[in-house]
Amino acid sequence: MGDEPLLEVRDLVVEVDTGKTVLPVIDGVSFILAKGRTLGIVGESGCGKSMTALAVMQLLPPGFRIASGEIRFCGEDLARVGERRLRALRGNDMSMIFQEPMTSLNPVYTVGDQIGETLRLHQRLGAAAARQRTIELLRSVHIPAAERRVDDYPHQLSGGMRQRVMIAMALACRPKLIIADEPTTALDVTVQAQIFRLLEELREETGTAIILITHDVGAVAEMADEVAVFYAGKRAEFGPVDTVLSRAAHPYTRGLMASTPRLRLGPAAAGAEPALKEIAGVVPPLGEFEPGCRFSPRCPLADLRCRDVPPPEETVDRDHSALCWKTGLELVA
Amino acid sequence: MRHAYPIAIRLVQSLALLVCVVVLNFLLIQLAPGDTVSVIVGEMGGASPETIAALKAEYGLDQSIPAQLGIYLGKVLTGDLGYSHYFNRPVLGLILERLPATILLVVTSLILAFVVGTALGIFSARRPKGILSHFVTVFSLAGFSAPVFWTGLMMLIVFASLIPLFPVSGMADVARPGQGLGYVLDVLHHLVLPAVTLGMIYVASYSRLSRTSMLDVLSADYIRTARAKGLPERRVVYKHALRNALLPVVTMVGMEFGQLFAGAVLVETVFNWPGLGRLAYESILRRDYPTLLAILLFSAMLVMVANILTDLAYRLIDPRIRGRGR
Amino acid sequence: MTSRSASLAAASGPETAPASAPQGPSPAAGTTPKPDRPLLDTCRMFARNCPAMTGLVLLATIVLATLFGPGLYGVDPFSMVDMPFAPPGPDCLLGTDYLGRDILAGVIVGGRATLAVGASAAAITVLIGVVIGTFAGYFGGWVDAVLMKVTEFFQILPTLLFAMVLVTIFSSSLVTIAIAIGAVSWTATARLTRAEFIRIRDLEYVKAARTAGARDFYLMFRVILPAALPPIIVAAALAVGISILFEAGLSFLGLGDPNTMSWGMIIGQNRDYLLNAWWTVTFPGIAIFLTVLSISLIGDGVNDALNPRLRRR
Repeated sequence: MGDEPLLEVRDLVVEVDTGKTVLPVIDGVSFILAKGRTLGIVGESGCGKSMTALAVMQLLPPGFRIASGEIRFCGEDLARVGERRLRALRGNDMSMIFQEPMTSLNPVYTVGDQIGETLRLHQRLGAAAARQRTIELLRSVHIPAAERRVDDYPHQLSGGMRQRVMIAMALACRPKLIIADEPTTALDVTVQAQIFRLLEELREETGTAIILITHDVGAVAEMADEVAVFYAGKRAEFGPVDTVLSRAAHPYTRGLMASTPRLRLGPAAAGAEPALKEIAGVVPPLGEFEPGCRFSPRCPLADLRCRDVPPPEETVDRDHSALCWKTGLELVA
Repeated sequence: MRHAYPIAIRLVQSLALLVCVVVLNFLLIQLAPGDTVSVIVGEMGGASPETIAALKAEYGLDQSIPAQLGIYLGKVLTGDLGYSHYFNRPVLGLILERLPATILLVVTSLILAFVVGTALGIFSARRPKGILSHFVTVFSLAGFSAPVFWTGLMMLIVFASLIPLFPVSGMADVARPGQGLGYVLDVLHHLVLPAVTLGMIYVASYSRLSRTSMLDVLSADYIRTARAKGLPERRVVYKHALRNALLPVVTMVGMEFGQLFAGAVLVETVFNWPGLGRLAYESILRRDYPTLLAILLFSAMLVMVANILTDLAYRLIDPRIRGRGR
Repeated sequence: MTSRSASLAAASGPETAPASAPQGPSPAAGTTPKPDRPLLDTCRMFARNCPAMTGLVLLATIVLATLFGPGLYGVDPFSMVDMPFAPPGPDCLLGTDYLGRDILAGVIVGGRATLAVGASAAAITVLIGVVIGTFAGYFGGWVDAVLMKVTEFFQILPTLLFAMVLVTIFSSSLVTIAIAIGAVSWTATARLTRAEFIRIRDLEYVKAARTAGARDFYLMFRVILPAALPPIIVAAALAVGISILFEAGLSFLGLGDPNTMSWGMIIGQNRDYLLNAWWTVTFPGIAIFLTVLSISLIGDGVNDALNPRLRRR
């Protein structure tokens, strides 16, 4: 483990104001990320993964707000530092790669302009120096003919190329933390692997810490040091990636792993195994949770207590914990 | 230059459309009561059959309709738009004399509407619940609903009569010398009320459109990206959002130019502004068809020029359109 | 409207839809949509919209006033009842014009022509626009290309000027005015209808109907057109307002039917004296303004009711 925490999120609660009621989107989530490490956050859509990322960046959309909890980045409480300090941090010390490369770049400016803008802002580079550095960055994310591509507009690039541009933009100021929010969801399968490989490579080169948000457990297995499993706004399980994936304590984690073919069989044999145990049902809508464990309606192990009493944070092993009544049953299932 | 080819196509298409307008004009002349010769004869107070026949031959009225159309097209191509018997001079000169006043009025109103309208829309979009936002909603409704000639008359009552800040009519003071800086200021003084009247409808329309468009753009993914870079809010709004938010407004400006010109007819009539619109009104009163139809042709031409300029502007701000025909 | 914009932004925020953000956030969709009774729902949404209901009441008042007002008020708008330019007072509530005719009587009667021409011109506008848009959008290919060229041609002719030419040549009567207005203002409706047809014609249920052997005309007018109606209805409401403004403009220029009193005509005939007799032009203008305003409010309300998830343009 790293010595000093880079990012510490404690008991984070994010609420959305729907106009009629206020509902918690993220309900008491905590995790710690050390310098240079990679944290994988996995879970289905709508579990609060992206909201956690946006809360860290302090970029929650209108209607959403942090109700309680702490987000400490390099010791600073991001909720208290103020907008000016946040702007100095964003894009400089922490940056973000978004899910939709097709719409996350501004269509009316060249990619060079959009990457260079960060450099000019945070590193006070002049136009020529920013351009030179932008070309280097485009090369480092393996964009061919970077010195020509720098003058391209986003619509002239493929989805994979645009995501590389987004990554180059995130890397521009050598941030301490990069949050990659489902960076490959919108891309072709072959391109997905390339992007993951690129992220891996860049992490080794630059030593930046990464939060990788994905529903691809396989990618987490390959890249992450720690993993946090999210379900319905709660952190269901947390721990070192090896421990969690080999001895998953939460039935939800096991379900996720079971529906990830390449984790067991390798990418080549994807889909070869006939019966994967899909998790039945869907994530319940906000505000319609069971009083007890939120996963209980879908859980094969759930009993009455699971439904009625919120589960405790069970420590399974050193650094490995799960929010479940049934952690003891892990080997039985 | 990347824009050259599609613009060339546009030009050719526009010319074809313009020929269609000329044909339409010809058909309308055919439909109009009384032909050129009977008008002339009427002015002369009667003529002998020989004179009438000679006149008909001179104007080609003794030939077949297609042949007459050919003659008409040829005349238009050489700049002969007919003769106004009321004004007693060739129509082309009449129109060219009035054109600058109309262009001055229309362009001033357009710039005014674009600048004020988008500014209102964009400021109000930044505070969707603010006072300005409500003002834009109400003002855009009112601006659309008030007939432009009536707005002009109300302007006259308030700003020329009750509070006599501006002149009642015309483009320049007849008593003043017609040159130099004094003349320019005098024209600008006369321009204020007509331009504001005509611009007001479009301020209403553009402010509403740009407000909606800005609200859309501000929730776009790339705006979040810009914020994630740590850009100050001003740069996010005025660099990243503004240019995208302007695109629908620019499209609208191009599409509404014909209506803007039509509005100018009413405004020029109200303020006695000596432009094409006022000329159209005068020629309607005198049933002066050649002048009226020539104005229709010229205004179609103006609309086309405006469309091509809009197209160019759109290409300049939206790189996705460049190098592609629309 | 404002609260809806905030919740819309929230609903479109990342990751909330669809699982964690129920349809609920939009108060407009608060009553769970019942797809089996869309008309009723639309009416209910409209009835809850305060500005739209204001518009409806206002328009109803204006229509009733023009229909029954002349019988109740009983002053002939063409007869000279007082001295010219009598200011508003107990005898003539809104004063008299340059010939000593009662302005109030003119305003009451003048609404008939204006409303009649506005409604019928809008009907012509929508009819031409929908037919052209339907054929262009349904058939595509060369039909579309030709019809769109025609539309483009009409778009470059400044509308009011073209209508002025038509009315001048074909003489001014209420019928020619309505036709002239319709003939110059259908292009927007045509483009709108075409766009809707292009969007709808490849949807699954249309393909299914086609596979089941439905003919072109059946597909166009019974299958696709009903689905394309909502935006067309909104455009039709707008067209009524625009037509009224057109009619007023033409009458103002002296191109109205000389035998029929209309709001634009009162303003046009008195405009030379406006600095001495402000009431002659002010009140008929207010009548036009309120009429068009009420129609715009209704149009906006219909738009909101038909597209609860979209805000006004």
